[in-house]
Amino acid sequence: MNWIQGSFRTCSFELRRSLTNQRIAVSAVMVLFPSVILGLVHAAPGVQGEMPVEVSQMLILLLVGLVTILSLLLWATPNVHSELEGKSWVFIASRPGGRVSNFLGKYFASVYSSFIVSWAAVTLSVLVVNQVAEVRDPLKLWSVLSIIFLIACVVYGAIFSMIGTIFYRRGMVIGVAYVLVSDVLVANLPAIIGKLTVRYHLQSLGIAWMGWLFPGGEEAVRNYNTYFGKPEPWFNLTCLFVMMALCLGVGTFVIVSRQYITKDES
Amino acid sequence: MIELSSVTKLYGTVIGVNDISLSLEPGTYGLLGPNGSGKTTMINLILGQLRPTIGTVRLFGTNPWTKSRLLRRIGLCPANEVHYPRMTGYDWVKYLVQLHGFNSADGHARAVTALEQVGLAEHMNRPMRNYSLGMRQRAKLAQAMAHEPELLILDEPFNGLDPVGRRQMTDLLHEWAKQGRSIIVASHILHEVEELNPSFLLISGGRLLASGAPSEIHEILADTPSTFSVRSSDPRALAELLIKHDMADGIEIDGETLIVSTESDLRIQSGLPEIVMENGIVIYEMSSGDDSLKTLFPTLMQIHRGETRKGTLK
Repeated sequence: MNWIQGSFRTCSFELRRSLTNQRIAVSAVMVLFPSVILGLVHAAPGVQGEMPVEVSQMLILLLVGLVTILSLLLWATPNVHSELEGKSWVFIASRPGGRVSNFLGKYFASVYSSFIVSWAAVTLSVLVVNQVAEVRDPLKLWSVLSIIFLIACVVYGAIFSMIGTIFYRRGMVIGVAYVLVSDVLVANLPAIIGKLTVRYHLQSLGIAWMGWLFPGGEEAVRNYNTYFGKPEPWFNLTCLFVMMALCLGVGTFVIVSRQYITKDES
Repeated sequence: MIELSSVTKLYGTVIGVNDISLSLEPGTYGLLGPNGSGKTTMINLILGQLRPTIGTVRLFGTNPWTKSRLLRRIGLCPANEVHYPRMTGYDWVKYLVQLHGFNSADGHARAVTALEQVGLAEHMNRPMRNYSLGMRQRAKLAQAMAHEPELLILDEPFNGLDPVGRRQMTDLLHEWAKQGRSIIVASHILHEVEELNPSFLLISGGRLLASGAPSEIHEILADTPSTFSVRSSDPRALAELLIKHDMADGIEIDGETLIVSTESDLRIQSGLPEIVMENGIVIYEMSSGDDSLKTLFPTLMQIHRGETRKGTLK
Protein backbone atom coordinates (compact mmCIF):
# COMPACT_ATOMS: atom_id res chain seq x y z
CA MET A 1 0.00 0.00 0.00
CA ASN A 2 2.67 2.40 -1.10
CA TRP A 3 0.11 5.03 -2.10
CA ILE A 4 -1.34 5.38 1.40
CA GLN A 5 2.04 6.35 2.88
CA GLY A 6 2.75 8.30 -0.28
CA SER A 7 -0.47 10.30 0.13
CA PHE A 8 0.47 11.46 3.62
CA ARG A 9 4.01 12.28 2.51
CA THR A 10 2.69 14.24 -0.43
CA CYS A 11 0.29 16.07 1.89
CA SER A 12 3.10 16.99 4.26
CA PHE A 13 5.40 18.02 1.38
CA GLU A 14 2.63 20.10 -0.22
CA LEU A 15 1.85 21.92 3.00
CA ARG A 16 5.51 22.81 3.53
CA ARG A 17 6.03 23.74 -0.11
CA SER A 18 3.05 26.05 -0.24
CA LEU A 19 3.77 27.88 2.98
CA THR A 20 4.82 30.98 1.07
CA ASN A 21 4.24 34.58 2.12
CA GLN A 22 1.86 34.97 -0.80
CA ARG A 23 -0.27 32.02 0.26
CA ILE A 24 -0.27 33.12 3.89
CA ALA A 25 -1.38 36.61 2.84
CA VAL A 26 -4.19 35.23 0.65
CA SER A 27 -5.33 32.95 3.48
CA ALA A 28 -5.27 35.85 5.96
CA VAL A 29 -7.46 37.93 3.63
CA MET A 30 -9.87 35.02 3.30
CA VAL A 31 -10.00 34.56 7.08
CA LEU A 32 -10.69 38.25 7.71
CA PHE A 33 -13.09 38.84 4.82
CA PRO A 34 -16.34 37.49 6.41
CA SER A 35 -15.83 39.15 9.80
CA VAL A 36 -14.88 42.49 8.22
CA ILE A 37 -17.97 42.41 5.97
CA LEU A 38 -20.17 41.45 8.96
CA GLY A 39 -18.69 44.26 11.01
CA LEU A 40 -19.25 46.75 8.17
CA VAL A 41 -22.84 45.60 7.64
CA HIS A 42 -23.61 45.92 11.34
CA ALA A 43 -21.98 49.33 11.49
CA ALA A 44 -23.87 50.59 8.44
CA PRO A 45 -26.23 53.52 9.06
CA GLY A 46 -29.80 52.32 9.62
CA VAL A 47 -28.67 48.82 10.56
CA GLN A 48 -26.82 49.41 13.82
CA GLY A 49 -28.13 46.92 16.34
CA GLU A 50 -31.30 46.37 14.33
CA MET A 51 -30.28 43.35 12.27
CA PRO A 52 -31.93 40.10 13.41
CA VAL A 53 -29.43 37.50 14.58
CA GLU A 54 -30.76 35.04 11.96
CA VAL A 55 -29.68 37.41 9.19
CA SER A 56 -26.20 37.56 10.72
CA GLN A 57 -26.09 33.75 10.90
CA MET A 58 -27.13 33.53 7.28
CA LEU A 59 -24.43 36.02 6.35
CA ILE A 60 -21.83 33.95 8.21
CA LEU A 61 -22.89 30.86 6.26
CA LEU A 62 -22.84 32.74 2.99
CA LEU A 63 -19.53 34.56 3.48
CA VAL A 64 -17.58 31.73 5.11
CA GLY A 65 -19.09 29.37 2.54
CA LEU A 66 -17.79 31.62 -0.21
CA VAL A 67 -14.33 31.74 1.33
CA THR A 68 -14.25 27.97 1.84
CA ILE A 69 -15.27 27.28 -1.75
CA LEU A 70 -12.70 29.77 -3.00
CA SER A 71 -9.94 28.22 -0.90
CA LEU A 72 -10.82 24.72 -2.10
CA LEU A 73 -10.94 25.89 -5.71
CA LEU A 74 -7.47 27.37 -5.30
CA TRP A 75 -6.01 24.32 -3.56
CA ALA A 76 -7.85 21.27 -4.83
CA THR A 77 -8.60 21.82 -8.52
CA PRO A 78 -5.03 22.38 -9.77
CA ASN A 79 -3.90 19.00 -8.37
CA VAL A 80 -2.70 17.75 -11.76
CA HIS A 81 -2.42 21.00 -13.68
CA SER A 82 0.06 22.63 -11.29
CA GLU A 83 2.39 19.63 -11.61
CA LEU A 84 2.10 19.57 -15.39
CA GLU A 85 2.69 23.31 -15.60
CA GLY A 86 5.61 23.10 -13.16
CA LYS A 87 6.94 20.12 -15.15
CA SER A 88 7.17 18.15 -11.91
CA TRP A 89 4.45 15.65 -12.89
CA VAL A 90 6.91 13.17 -14.36
CA PHE A 91 8.94 13.04 -11.11
CA ILE A 92 5.84 12.02 -9.16
CA ALA A 93 4.21 9.86 -11.81
CA SER A 94 7.40 7.81 -12.21
CA ARG A 95 7.04 6.56 -8.62
CA PRO A 96 5.01 3.41 -7.87
CA GLY A 97 1.57 4.65 -6.87
CA GLY A 98 2.83 8.19 -7.40
CA ARG A 99 -0.25 9.35 -9.29
CA VAL A 100 -2.63 8.22 -6.55
CA SER A 101 -0.30 9.61 -3.85
CA ASN A 102 -0.37 12.95 -5.65
CA PHE A 103 -4.17 12.92 -5.98
CA LEU A 104 -4.96 11.93 -2.39
CA GLY A 105 -2.04 13.84 -0.85
CA LYS A 106 -3.11 17.06 -2.51
CA TYR A 107 -6.72 16.36 -1.53
CA PHE A 108 -5.72 16.02 2.13
CA ALA A 109 -3.60 19.16 1.92
CA SER A 110 -6.46 21.14 0.35
CA VAL A 111 -8.96 19.95 2.97
CA TYR A 112 -6.55 20.71 5.80
CA SER A 113 -5.58 24.19 4.66
CA SER A 114 -9.11 25.16 3.59
CA PHE A 115 -10.57 23.99 6.88
CA ILE A 116 -8.01 26.03 8.81
CA VAL A 117 -9.14 29.09 6.81
CA SER A 118 -12.86 28.44 7.20
CA TRP A 119 -12.58 27.51 10.88
CA ALA A 120 -10.67 30.69 11.64
CA ALA A 121 -13.18 32.69 9.58
CA VAL A 122 -16.12 31.10 11.45
CA THR A 123 -14.47 31.80 14.80
CA LEU A 124 -13.88 35.47 14.01
CA SER A 125 -17.32 35.89 12.45
CA VAL A 126 -19.13 34.38 15.44
CA LEU A 127 -17.09 36.62 17.75
CA VAL A 128 -18.05 39.70 15.70
CA VAL A 129 -21.74 38.78 15.52
CA ASN A 130 -21.80 37.97 19.23
CA GLN A 131 -20.50 41.47 19.94
CA VAL A 132 -23.17 43.26 17.93
CA ALA A 133 -26.21 40.98 18.20
CA GLU A 134 -27.68 38.70 20.82
CA VAL A 135 -26.72 35.20 19.75
CA ARG A 136 -28.62 32.70 21.89
CA ASP A 137 -25.86 30.12 22.20
CA PRO A 138 -22.66 31.37 20.53
CA LEU A 139 -20.62 28.34 21.55
CA LYS A 140 -23.15 25.99 19.97
CA LEU A 141 -23.33 28.13 16.85
CA TRP A 142 -19.53 28.10 16.59
CA SER A 143 -19.32 24.32 17.14
CA VAL A 144 -22.06 23.48 14.64
CA LEU A 145 -20.68 25.80 11.99
CA SER A 146 -17.17 24.45 12.52
CA ILE A 147 -18.40 20.88 12.01
CA ILE A 148 -20.48 21.84 8.98
CA PHE A 149 -17.54 23.60 7.36
CA LEU A 150 -15.28 20.65 8.14
CA ILE A 151 -17.73 18.38 6.33
CA ALA A 152 -18.01 20.94 3.52
CA CYS A 153 -14.22 20.95 3.06
CA VAL A 154 -14.09 17.15 2.99
CA VAL A 155 -16.89 16.77 0.42
CA TYR A 156 -16.29 19.81 -1.78
CA GLY A 157 -12.56 19.04 -1.67
CA ALA A 158 -13.26 15.59 -3.11
CA ILE A 159 -15.53 17.05 -5.82
CA PHE A 160 -12.99 19.69 -6.85
CA SER A 161 -10.12 17.20 -6.75
CA MET A 162 -12.06 14.92 -9.08
CA ILE A 163 -12.82 17.85 -11.38
CA GLY A 164 -9.10 18.68 -11.35
CA THR A 165 -8.21 15.24 -12.70
CA ILE A 166 -10.89 15.21 -15.39
CA PHE A 167 -10.76 18.80 -16.61
CA TYR A 168 -7.18 19.45 -15.62
CA ARG A 169 -6.67 22.42 -17.94
CA ARG A 170 -9.89 24.25 -16.92
CA GLY A 171 -10.43 22.77 -13.47
CA MET A 172 -11.12 26.02 -11.68
CA VAL A 173 -13.59 27.27 -14.28
CA ILE A 174 -15.48 23.98 -14.24
CA GLY A 175 -15.38 24.05 -10.42
CA VAL A 176 -17.00 27.50 -10.35
CA ALA A 177 -19.58 26.38 -12.93
CA TYR A 178 -20.36 23.33 -10.80
CA VAL A 179 -20.94 25.47 -7.70
CA LEU A 180 -23.19 27.89 -9.58
CA VAL A 181 -25.27 25.18 -11.20
CA SER A 182 -25.39 22.73 -8.33
CA ASP A 183 -25.42 24.85 -5.19
CA VAL A 184 -27.02 28.04 -6.40
CA LEU A 185 -29.52 26.69 -8.91
CA VAL A 186 -30.28 23.01 -8.34
CA ALA A 187 -30.07 23.04 -4.52
CA ASN A 188 -32.93 25.55 -4.44
CA LEU A 189 -35.24 23.34 -6.46
CA PRO A 190 -37.79 21.58 -4.26
CA ALA A 191 -37.31 18.35 -6.17
CA ILE A 192 -35.44 15.08 -5.82
CA ILE A 193 -32.57 16.45 -7.87
CA GLY A 194 -31.97 19.06 -5.19
CA LYS A 195 -31.14 16.26 -2.77
CA LEU A 196 -28.18 15.33 -4.90
CA THR A 197 -26.41 18.55 -4.01
CA VAL A 198 -23.94 19.02 -1.19
CA ARG A 199 -25.57 22.24 -0.08
CA TYR A 200 -28.93 20.57 0.55
CA HIS A 201 -27.37 18.06 2.94
CA LEU A 202 -25.20 20.63 4.72
CA GLN A 203 -28.21 22.91 5.11
CA SER A 204 -30.31 20.03 6.47
CA LEU A 205 -27.56 19.20 8.97
CA GLY A 206 -27.37 22.81 10.10
CA ILE A 207 -31.12 22.94 10.59
CA ALA A 208 -31.16 19.61 12.42
CA TRP A 209 -28.38 20.62 14.80
CA MET A 210 -29.20 24.28 15.31
CA GLY A 211 -32.97 24.31 15.00
CA TRP A 212 -33.20 27.07 12.40
CA LEU A 213 -30.43 29.23 11.01
CA PHE A 214 -32.27 31.59 8.70
CA PRO A 215 -34.72 34.50 8.94
CA GLY A 216 -38.47 33.98 8.57
CA GLY A 217 -39.46 32.41 11.87
CA GLU A 218 -41.72 29.36 12.25
CA GLU A 219 -43.52 29.87 8.98
CA ALA A 220 -40.24 29.64 7.09
CA VAL A 221 -39.43 26.41 8.94
CA ARG A 222 -42.80 24.93 8.01
CA ASN A 223 -42.44 25.95 4.38
CA TYR A 224 -38.93 24.58 4.20
CA ASN A 225 -39.98 21.25 5.69
CA THR A 226 -42.92 21.02 3.30
CA TYR A 227 -40.83 21.61 0.21
CA PHE A 228 -37.50 20.04 1.14
CA GLY A 229 -38.46 17.43 3.77
CA LYS A 230 -36.85 16.88 7.12
CA PRO A 231 -34.29 14.14 6.76
CA GLU A 232 -32.44 12.61 9.70
CA PRO A 233 -28.81 13.75 10.12
CA TRP A 234 -27.53 10.20 9.57
CA PHE A 235 -29.15 10.23 6.12
CA ASN A 236 -27.42 13.52 5.24
CA LEU A 237 -24.11 12.30 6.59
CA THR A 238 -24.38 9.04 4.67
CA CYS A 239 -25.21 10.89 1.44
CA LEU A 240 -22.26 13.24 1.94
CA PHE A 241 -19.92 10.33 2.68
CA VAL A 242 -21.08 8.50 -0.45
CA MET A 243 -20.51 11.66 -2.53
CA MET A 244 -17.00 12.06 -1.14
CA ALA A 245 -16.11 8.38 -1.64
CA LEU A 246 -17.55 8.39 -5.15
CA CYS A 247 -15.63 11.50 -6.18
CA LEU A 248 -12.37 10.22 -4.72
CA GLY A 249 -12.95 6.86 -6.41
CA VAL A 250 -13.65 8.43 -9.78
CA GLY A 251 -10.71 10.82 -9.38
CA THR A 252 -8.37 7.94 -8.53
CA PHE A 253 -9.60 5.93 -11.49
CA VAL A 254 -9.13 8.88 -13.85
CA ILE A 255 -5.68 9.77 -12.58
CA VAL A 256 -4.30 6.26 -12.98
CA SER A 257 -5.87 5.60 -16.34
CA ARG A 258 -5.28 8.91 -18.08
CA GLN A 259 -2.25 9.91 -20.12
CA TYR A 260 -1.35 13.39 -18.97
CA ILE A 261 0.72 15.06 -21.61
CA THR A 262 2.94 18.02 -20.86
CA LYS A 263 3.09 21.08 -23.10
CA ASP A 264 6.51 19.96 -24.36
CA GLU A 265 5.17 16.64 -25.53
CA SER A 266 1.92 17.94 -27.01
CA MET B 1 14.74 -5.95 -19.97
CA ILE B 2 12.79 -3.75 -22.43
CA GLU B 3 10.82 -4.92 -25.40
CA LEU B 4 8.91 -2.77 -27.83
CA SER B 5 6.91 -4.50 -30.55
CA SER B 6 5.75 -2.35 -33.46
CA VAL B 7 5.07 0.53 -31.11
CA THR B 8 3.45 3.66 -32.50
CA LYS B 9 2.34 6.60 -30.41
CA LEU B 10 0.09 9.27 -31.85
CA TYR B 11 -0.70 12.61 -30.24
CA GLY B 12 -3.88 13.33 -32.13
CA THR B 13 -2.64 13.42 -35.70
CA VAL B 14 1.01 13.98 -34.76
CA ILE B 15 3.28 10.95 -34.63
CA GLY B 16 5.43 10.77 -31.50
CA VAL B 17 6.94 7.38 -32.14
CA ASN B 18 6.51 5.48 -35.39
CA ASP B 19 6.52 1.69 -35.57
CA ILE B 20 9.47 1.00 -33.30
CA SER B 21 10.48 -2.55 -32.48
CA LEU B 22 13.44 -3.30 -30.29
CA SER B 23 14.62 -5.57 -27.56
CA LEU B 24 17.14 -4.34 -25.01
CA GLU B 25 19.05 -6.61 -22.69
CA PRO B 26 20.56 -5.15 -19.48
CA GLY B 27 23.44 -2.82 -20.37
CA THR B 28 24.30 0.76 -21.24
CA TYR B 29 22.43 2.44 -24.07
CA GLY B 30 22.64 5.82 -25.70
CA LEU B 31 19.36 7.00 -27.17
CA LEU B 32 20.42 9.59 -29.68
CA GLY B 33 18.30 11.88 -31.76
CA PRO B 34 17.73 15.53 -32.56
CA ASN B 35 15.34 17.59 -30.44
CA GLY B 36 11.76 16.53 -31.07
CA SER B 37 12.78 13.17 -32.50
CA GLY B 38 10.66 11.13 -30.09
CA LYS B 39 13.21 10.30 -27.35
CA THR B 40 11.08 11.54 -24.48
CA THR B 41 7.97 9.87 -25.88
CA MET B 42 9.87 6.61 -26.10
CA ILE B 43 11.03 6.97 -22.50
CA ASN B 44 7.47 7.70 -21.36
CA LEU B 45 6.25 4.62 -23.20
CA ILE B 46 8.91 2.50 -21.52
CA LEU B 47 7.93 3.92 -18.12
CA GLY B 48 4.22 3.33 -18.69
CA GLN B 49 3.41 7.03 -18.55
CA LEU B 50 2.00 6.79 -22.05
CA ARG B 51 0.04 3.97 -23.64
CA PRO B 52 1.08 2.99 -27.16
CA THR B 53 -1.55 3.69 -29.81
CA ILE B 54 -0.42 0.55 -31.61
CA GLY B 55 1.90 -2.23 -30.42
CA THR B 56 3.04 -3.48 -27.06
CA VAL B 57 5.65 -2.41 -24.51
CA ARG B 58 7.17 -4.80 -22.00
CA LEU B 59 9.40 -3.71 -19.16
CA PHE B 60 10.98 -6.51 -17.14
CA GLY B 61 8.49 -8.78 -18.90
CA THR B 62 5.41 -6.85 -17.82
CA ASN B 63 3.20 -4.14 -19.24
CA PRO B 64 4.39 -0.97 -17.49
CA TRP B 65 1.08 0.83 -18.10
CA THR B 66 -0.78 -1.57 -15.82
CA LYS B 67 1.96 -2.26 -13.25
CA SER B 68 3.19 0.92 -11.64
CA ARG B 69 5.03 -1.27 -9.10
CA LEU B 70 7.70 -1.76 -11.78
CA LEU B 71 8.72 1.85 -11.30
CA ARG B 72 10.43 0.83 -8.06
CA ARG B 73 13.10 -0.78 -10.28
CA ILE B 74 13.64 2.33 -12.36
CA GLY B 75 15.22 5.68 -11.70
CA LEU B 76 14.25 8.50 -14.03
CA CYS B 77 16.13 11.74 -14.46
CA PRO B 78 13.89 13.69 -16.86
CA ALA B 79 14.97 16.58 -19.01
CA ASN B 80 12.43 18.83 -17.28
CA GLU B 81 13.59 21.57 -14.97
CA VAL B 82 12.73 21.35 -11.28
CA HIS B 83 10.46 24.09 -9.90
CA TYR B 84 10.42 23.86 -6.13
CA PRO B 85 12.09 27.15 -5.24
CA ARG B 86 11.40 27.09 -1.50
CA MET B 87 12.31 23.47 -0.87
CA THR B 88 15.85 22.36 -0.22
CA GLY B 89 17.49 19.76 -2.43
CA TYR B 90 17.49 17.41 0.55
CA ASP B 91 13.72 17.82 1.23
CA TRP B 92 12.88 17.23 -2.39
CA VAL B 93 15.08 14.17 -2.85
CA LYS B 94 13.93 12.69 0.48
CA TYR B 95 10.27 13.18 -0.46
CA LEU B 96 10.73 11.48 -3.82
CA VAL B 97 12.69 8.60 -2.26
CA GLN B 98 9.95 8.12 0.30
CA LEU B 99 7.40 7.82 -2.51
CA HIS B 100 9.21 4.56 -3.34
CA GLY B 101 7.98 3.20 -0.01
CA PHE B 102 10.91 4.01 2.27
CA ASN B 103 10.27 5.24 5.80
CA SER B 104 11.58 8.55 7.06
CA ALA B 105 14.90 7.19 8.41
CA ASP B 106 15.68 5.22 5.23
CA GLY B 107 14.54 8.13 3.09
CA HIS B 108 16.91 10.42 4.97
CA ALA B 109 19.87 8.02 4.66
CA ARG B 110 19.31 7.39 0.96
CA ALA B 111 18.75 11.04 0.13
CA VAL B 112 21.96 12.07 1.91
CA THR B 113 23.99 9.29 0.26
CA ALA B 114 22.69 10.13 -3.20
CA LEU B 115 23.30 13.85 -2.74
CA GLU B 116 26.84 13.08 -1.60
CA GLN B 117 27.37 10.87 -4.64
CA VAL B 118 26.42 13.65 -7.03
CA GLY B 119 28.56 16.17 -5.16
CA LEU B 120 25.72 18.19 -3.69
CA ALA B 121 26.25 17.37 -0.01
CA GLU B 122 27.45 20.87 0.87
CA HIS B 123 24.45 22.55 -0.69
CA MET B 124 21.69 20.09 0.09
CA ASN B 125 20.14 22.25 2.80
CA ARG B 126 19.92 25.34 0.61
CA PRO B 127 16.62 26.26 -1.08
CA MET B 128 16.61 25.11 -4.68
CA ARG B 129 15.97 28.65 -5.94
CA ASN B 130 19.63 29.31 -5.08
CA TYR B 131 20.85 26.37 -7.15
CA SER B 132 22.61 26.82 -10.46
CA LEU B 133 21.40 24.86 -13.47
CA GLY B 134 24.18 22.33 -12.91
CA MET B 135 23.23 21.90 -9.24
CA ARG B 136 19.60 21.31 -10.14
CA GLN B 137 20.76 18.76 -12.67
CA ARG B 138 22.71 16.97 -9.93
CA ALA B 139 19.71 17.04 -7.61
CA LYS B 140 17.65 15.47 -10.38
CA LEU B 141 20.24 12.75 -10.77
CA ALA B 142 20.27 12.17 -7.00
CA GLN B 143 16.50 11.61 -6.86
CA ALA B 144 16.82 9.09 -9.71
CA MET B 145 19.62 7.12 -8.07
CA ALA B 146 18.69 7.29 -4.41
CA HIS B 147 16.51 4.18 -4.33
CA GLU B 148 19.19 2.18 -6.18
CA PRO B 149 17.17 1.14 -9.21
CA GLU B 150 18.16 -1.58 -11.65
CA LEU B 151 17.67 0.72 -14.61
CA LEU B 152 18.57 4.38 -14.72
CA ILE B 153 16.96 6.44 -17.48
CA LEU B 154 18.54 9.84 -18.04
CA ASP B 155 17.03 12.35 -20.44
CA GLU B 156 19.60 14.98 -21.49
CA PRO B 157 21.53 14.57 -18.21
CA PHE B 158 24.48 16.74 -19.25
CA ASN B 159 22.42 19.87 -19.84
CA GLY B 160 23.78 22.78 -17.83
CA LEU B 161 26.83 20.95 -16.52
CA ASP B 162 30.23 22.56 -16.82
CA PRO B 163 33.14 20.42 -18.14
CA VAL B 164 34.11 19.32 -14.61
CA GLY B 165 30.52 18.45 -13.86
CA ARG B 166 30.27 16.48 -17.08
CA ARG B 167 33.40 14.54 -16.19
CA GLN B 168 32.05 13.77 -12.72
CA MET B 169 28.70 12.75 -14.13
CA THR B 170 30.38 10.46 -16.67
CA ASP B 171 32.52 8.87 -13.94
CA LEU B 172 29.49 8.38 -11.77
CA LEU B 173 27.60 6.68 -14.56
CA HIS B 174 30.64 4.49 -15.33
CA GLU B 175 30.66 3.43 -11.68
CA TRP B 176 26.95 2.75 -11.88
CA ALA B 177 27.35 0.57 -14.96
CA LYS B 178 30.26 -1.30 -13.37
CA GLN B 179 27.93 -2.45 -10.61
CA GLY B 180 25.99 -4.36 -13.26
CA ARG B 181 23.15 -1.89 -13.47
CA SER B 182 21.61 -0.68 -16.69
CA ILE B 183 21.53 2.85 -18.06
CA ILE B 184 19.71 4.53 -20.91
CA VAL B 185 21.01 8.01 -21.70
CA ALA B 186 18.96 10.10 -24.09
CA SER B 187 20.77 12.98 -25.73
CA HIS B 188 20.99 14.98 -28.91
CA ILE B 189 24.76 15.33 -28.60
CA LEU B 190 26.80 12.33 -29.62
CA HIS B 191 30.06 12.95 -27.80
CA GLU B 192 28.29 13.41 -24.45
CA VAL B 193 27.03 9.87 -24.59
CA GLU B 194 29.97 8.37 -26.41
CA GLU B 195 32.20 8.37 -23.34
CA LEU B 196 29.92 5.88 -21.63
CA ASN B 197 30.67 3.48 -24.45
CA PRO B 198 27.07 2.47 -24.87
CA SER B 199 25.20 0.64 -27.54
CA PHE B 200 23.47 3.28 -29.60
CA LEU B 201 19.87 3.68 -30.58
CA LEU B 202 19.48 6.39 -33.19
CA ILE B 203 16.03 7.88 -33.44
CA SER B 204 14.69 10.60 -35.66
CA GLY B 205 11.21 11.62 -36.74
CA GLY B 206 9.83 9.08 -34.30
CA ARG B 207 11.58 6.22 -36.08
CA LEU B 208 14.41 4.04 -34.88
CA LEU B 209 16.89 4.55 -37.69
CA ALA B 210 19.82 2.49 -36.51
CA SER B 211 21.17 0.66 -33.53
CA GLY B 212 24.44 -0.93 -32.70
CA ALA B 213 27.79 -0.81 -30.94
CA PRO B 214 29.90 2.40 -31.03
CA SER B 215 32.15 0.96 -33.73
CA GLU B 216 29.19 0.29 -35.99
CA ILE B 217 27.84 3.79 -35.49
CA HIS B 218 31.28 5.21 -36.23
CA GLU B 219 31.32 3.23 -39.45
CA ILE B 220 28.09 4.89 -40.47
CA LEU B 221 29.39 8.26 -39.35
CA ALA B 222 32.59 7.76 -41.29
CA ASP B 223 30.63 7.39 -44.49
CA THR B 224 28.42 10.36 -43.83
CA PRO B 225 28.77 13.88 -45.21
CA SER B 226 30.24 16.16 -42.60
CA THR B 227 32.27 19.28 -41.98
CA PHE B 228 35.66 19.47 -40.28
CA SER B 229 37.61 22.42 -39.09
CA VAL B 230 41.39 22.05 -39.20
CA ARG B 231 43.86 24.58 -37.80
CA SER B 232 47.30 24.02 -39.25
CA SER B 233 50.68 25.64 -39.84
CA ASP B 234 50.00 26.02 -43.61
CA PRO B 235 46.30 26.09 -44.39
CA ARG B 236 46.69 26.95 -48.09
CA ALA B 237 49.07 24.06 -48.76
CA LEU B 238 46.82 21.73 -46.85
CA ALA B 239 43.80 22.89 -48.83
CA GLU B 240 45.60 22.19 -52.12
CA LEU B 241 46.62 18.74 -50.93
CA LEU B 242 43.14 17.82 -49.77
CA ILE B 243 41.68 18.79 -53.14
CA LYS B 244 44.50 17.06 -55.04
CA HIS B 245 43.92 13.80 -53.15
CA ASP B 246 40.14 14.08 -53.58
CA MET B 247 39.53 14.17 -49.84
CA ALA B 248 37.44 17.32 -49.76
CA ASP B 249 34.35 18.37 -51.62
CA GLY B 250 34.49 21.95 -50.45
CA ILE B 251 37.01 24.11 -48.60
CA GLU B 252 36.86 27.51 -46.95
CA ILE B 253 39.90 29.25 -45.50
CA ASP B 254 39.43 31.34 -42.41
CA GLY B 255 42.85 32.56 -41.24
CA GLU B 256 44.71 29.53 -39.94
CA THR B 257 41.59 27.41 -40.07
CA LEU B 258 40.27 25.35 -42.92
CA ILE B 259 36.61 24.43 -42.99
CA VAL B 260 36.50 21.21 -44.96
CA SER B 261 33.31 19.65 -46.29
CA THR B 262 33.45 16.02 -47.26
CA GLU B 263 31.05 13.39 -48.46
CA SER B 264 32.88 10.81 -46.39
CA ASP B 265 34.72 11.21 -43.07
CA LEU B 266 36.54 8.00 -43.79
CA ARG B 267 38.54 9.48 -46.67
CA ILE B 268 39.91 12.23 -44.43
CA GLN B 269 40.48 9.98 -41.43
CA SER B 270 42.54 7.51 -43.47
CA GLY B 271 44.39 9.89 -45.78
CA LEU B 272 45.06 13.03 -43.81
CA PRO B 273 47.84 11.77 -41.49
CA GLU B 274 49.89 10.57 -44.44
CA ILE B 275 49.76 13.76 -46.52
CA VAL B 276 50.42 15.91 -43.45
CA MET B 277 53.50 13.87 -42.52
CA GLU B 278 54.82 13.83 -46.09
CA ASN B 279 54.50 17.59 -46.51
CA GLY B 280 55.65 18.66 -43.04
CA ILE B 281 52.42 20.41 -42.16
CA VAL B 282 51.64 20.74 -38.46
CA ILE B 283 48.06 20.27 -37.35
CA TYR B 284 47.30 22.32 -34.24
CA GLU B 285 43.68 21.46 -33.86
CA MET B 286 41.08 19.43 -35.65
CA SER B 287 37.44 19.12 -34.80
CA SER B 288 34.78 17.17 -36.53
CA GLY B 289 32.14 19.79 -35.69
CA ASP B 290 29.86 18.12 -33.25
CA ASP B 291 27.09 18.75 -35.64
CA SER B 292 27.87 15.23 -36.74
CA LEU B 293 24.40 14.21 -35.62
CA LYS B 294 22.79 16.97 -37.61
CA THR B 295 24.31 15.57 -40.75
CA LEU B 296 24.00 11.97 -39.67
CA PHE B 297 20.24 11.91 -39.20
CA PRO B 298 19.20 13.17 -42.63
CA THR B 299 21.55 10.58 -44.11
CA LEU B 300 20.13 7.84 -41.94
CA MET B 301 16.65 8.94 -42.91
CA GLN B 302 17.62 8.64 -46.57
CA ILE B 303 19.05 5.19 -45.95
CA HIS B 304 15.90 4.29 -44.04
CA ARG B 305 13.76 5.33 -47.00
CA GLY B 306 16.02 3.44 -49.36
CA GLU B 307 17.11 6.61 -51.15
CA THR B 308 20.83 5.94 -50.67
CA ARG B 309 22.99 2.93 -50.07
CA LYS B 310 25.46 4.60 -47.78
CA GLY B 311 25.94 3.15 -44.34
CA THR B 312 24.61 0.00 -42.86
CA LEU B 313 21.47 -0.12 -40.87
CA LYS B 314 20.69 -2.77 -38.34
